[in-house]
Amino acid sequence: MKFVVSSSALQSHLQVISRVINSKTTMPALECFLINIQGKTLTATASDTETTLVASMEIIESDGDGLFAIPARTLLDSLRELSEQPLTLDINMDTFEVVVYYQNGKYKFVAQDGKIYPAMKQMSEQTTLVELPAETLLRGINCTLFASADDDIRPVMNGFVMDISTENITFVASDAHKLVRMTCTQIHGNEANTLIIPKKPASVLRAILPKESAMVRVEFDENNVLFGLSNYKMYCRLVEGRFPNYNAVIPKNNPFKVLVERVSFLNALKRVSAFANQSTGLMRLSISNNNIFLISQDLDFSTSAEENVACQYDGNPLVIGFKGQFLMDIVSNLETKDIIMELADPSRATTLLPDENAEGEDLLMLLMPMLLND
Amino acid sequence: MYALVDCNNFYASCERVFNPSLLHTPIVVLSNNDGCVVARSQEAKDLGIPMGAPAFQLRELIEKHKVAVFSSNYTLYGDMSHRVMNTLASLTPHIEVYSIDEAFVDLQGLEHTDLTLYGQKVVQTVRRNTGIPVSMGIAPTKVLAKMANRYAKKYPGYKGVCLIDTDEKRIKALQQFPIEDVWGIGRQYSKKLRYHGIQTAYDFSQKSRSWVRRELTVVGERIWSELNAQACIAPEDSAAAKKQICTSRSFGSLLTEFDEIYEAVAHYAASCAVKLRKQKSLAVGMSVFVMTNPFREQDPQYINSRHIRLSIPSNDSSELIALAKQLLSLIYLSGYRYKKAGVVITEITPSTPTQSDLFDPIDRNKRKDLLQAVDRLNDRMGSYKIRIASQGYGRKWKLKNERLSPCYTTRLEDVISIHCDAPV
Repeated sequence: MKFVVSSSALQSHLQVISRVINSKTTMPALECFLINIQGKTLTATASDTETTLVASMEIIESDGDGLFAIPARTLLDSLRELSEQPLTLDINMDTFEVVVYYQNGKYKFVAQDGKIYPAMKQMSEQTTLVELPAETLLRGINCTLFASADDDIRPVMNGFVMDISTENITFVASDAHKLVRMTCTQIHGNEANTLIIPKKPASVLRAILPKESAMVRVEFDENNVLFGLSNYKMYCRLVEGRFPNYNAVIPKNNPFKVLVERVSFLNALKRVSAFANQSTGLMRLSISNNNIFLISQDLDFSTSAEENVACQYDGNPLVIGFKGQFLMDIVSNLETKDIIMELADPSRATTLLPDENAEGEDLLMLLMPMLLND
Repeated sequence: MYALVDCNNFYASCERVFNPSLLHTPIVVLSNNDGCVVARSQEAKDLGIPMGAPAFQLRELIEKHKVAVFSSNYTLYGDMSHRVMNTLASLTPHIEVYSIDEAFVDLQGLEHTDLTLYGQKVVQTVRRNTGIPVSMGIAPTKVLAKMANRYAKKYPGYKGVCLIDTDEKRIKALQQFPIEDVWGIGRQYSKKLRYHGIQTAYDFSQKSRSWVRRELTVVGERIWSELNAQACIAPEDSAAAKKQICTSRSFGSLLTEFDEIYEAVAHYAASCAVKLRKQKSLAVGMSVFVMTNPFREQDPQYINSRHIRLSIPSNDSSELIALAKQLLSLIYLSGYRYKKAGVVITEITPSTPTQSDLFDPIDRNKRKDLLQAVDRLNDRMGSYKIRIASQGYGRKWKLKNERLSPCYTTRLEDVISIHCDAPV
């Protein structure tokens, strides 16, 4: 069979779905794209068995239908070097010999029968559907994903949570040291459900969502979720298990509030943290009288740094320790000009908030301190 | 200038201190489980007993020459080492304990004294205070000091102290020193150097710097510089906190059952936890391994290990034991005769400041108080008097040490009593 397709359209779709392919895979078939031509539609599938991403696109013309598996690396590497032009792919459906004709030449390689590609797990009959704007989903992932864990013992923390209720949808991620909770108040589901989506599909979504403007269909059963975008469908297996009760660990009434300009605080943190002890990364904050005094030191190498950052604070003087990297992660992921830190005491969680929430969302970040033994 | 002070035949000498009847008897000390020879007195060396030889092969020789054989008594050796190092520290400006029986001494500031006389005073004082004979090599660099020490031991004429302070002496020493005996030149390096026709330390020191850098990397270049009297291995201050802790032993007999191995592994994990608490650290990563005896070729062989990263760093014995059990159950297979197992703490973090955890189910402060109380009691009453039940008392895995000498210096009932009749 033969078909004609735009080189740049094919390349850009394949490039996106190739993010799912693992560089080292146990099944050779997973190093391929599964290409299915039906009428004037081409669907390309890439998978690592846990996550499967399907792209569909229009082709210019074809003389029949076909299903075959093409080695991903070979095809992508060759397409990348072509300028925009119509490509003719000629596939011998008996031998699976592929010839790609382009303007001044041709590529020849061998595909495989599409039947070698592992079948995807089907979703169960009973699924639940939620629709939300692509922008909101993207924002939810962007805000939370940095806080997720890499933890063998607590796999539920290795991703982000979509907590759907009849009132709102909340995005949460935590590595047990820091936690981010972003509630979108303008959307909701029809029933309460909690999905834990692993890191890898989350970061793939993060790459494809910016080009999406329509609503995203999120369809799920107990074990799987399907994200339906206009040109892409992503199936992924949900993380099994229960995410810990995050609302229980968020302090409600931390009495001490500090208002600080975000960028100057972040830059001071970056400067001072370079002198912190390498293994602990401890950064000490002495907060009193409209001032944050940052101190880091590494006694092993006799290095230290200290800096004053102006803030608004008139509560009791307070000394608290944080892992510098965690604090910087949080401060850099907040976006407003000023941020608010709410503290209770040096052993309890501190919350960090934007001084003003964007419309329709409620964002909270939380950081556990490092216990200072003095 | 640096000096290397090294105890002569240390383990054998320790056995002799409290048993002078062994003064001229050949002595060998065996490794854990009474397996191989790990230390020999000079007399035993003269009999041709090789280092590392399995004890069972030497039975005839031992009987014929009435060689005194001991299991290794690390409590005694550790304490004697401590005594030697203390004496050294009182006599010298700055010591760096390098191993159980060696220490480097930084002699900065003493260049204008007669170092040979000074060295002899050190050697004699250590001998008098502890009963342990030591030798001292003095030279401008650590590698040369190590070499000088070798000469001090080998030639009685030096009276325990060999000083390399002139270029003439240095070159003479280098010329007679086989390359594989140079500190830092291991088996692979010496093989390579021999291939290039380098037989002695002198041949090596005559090579160009760039050649050494190319063939042996910066490590070799440092040794080369040191041999050429240019000190570049700096003295290290107090021993850095451990970066890894491994507790592992061969079992006294071959074990087949999970429960027996688990008891040993639990004990190793508890021992790691104690070591962690002593140096005020927490475990971040932990591995457990098991292996069969590779010398029993008739048995099926198996070796495996598994690693885990802790979500919340810990030095709590019961937590580490529980994790060790998990890991062990992943790698244990029935049907093998296991010879050895071990617990390795692969990654360590200081215990203060501690990053607290949002979802930690354990009240760490309470546990800390408990563990401190246990450690205090065990320090006073003897190690593991209070233990986690899974450490058990079965001790099927316990080390074989049938020829253990008394712990003369650390156990009250083993202290030698001397009968002194009142003068009439």
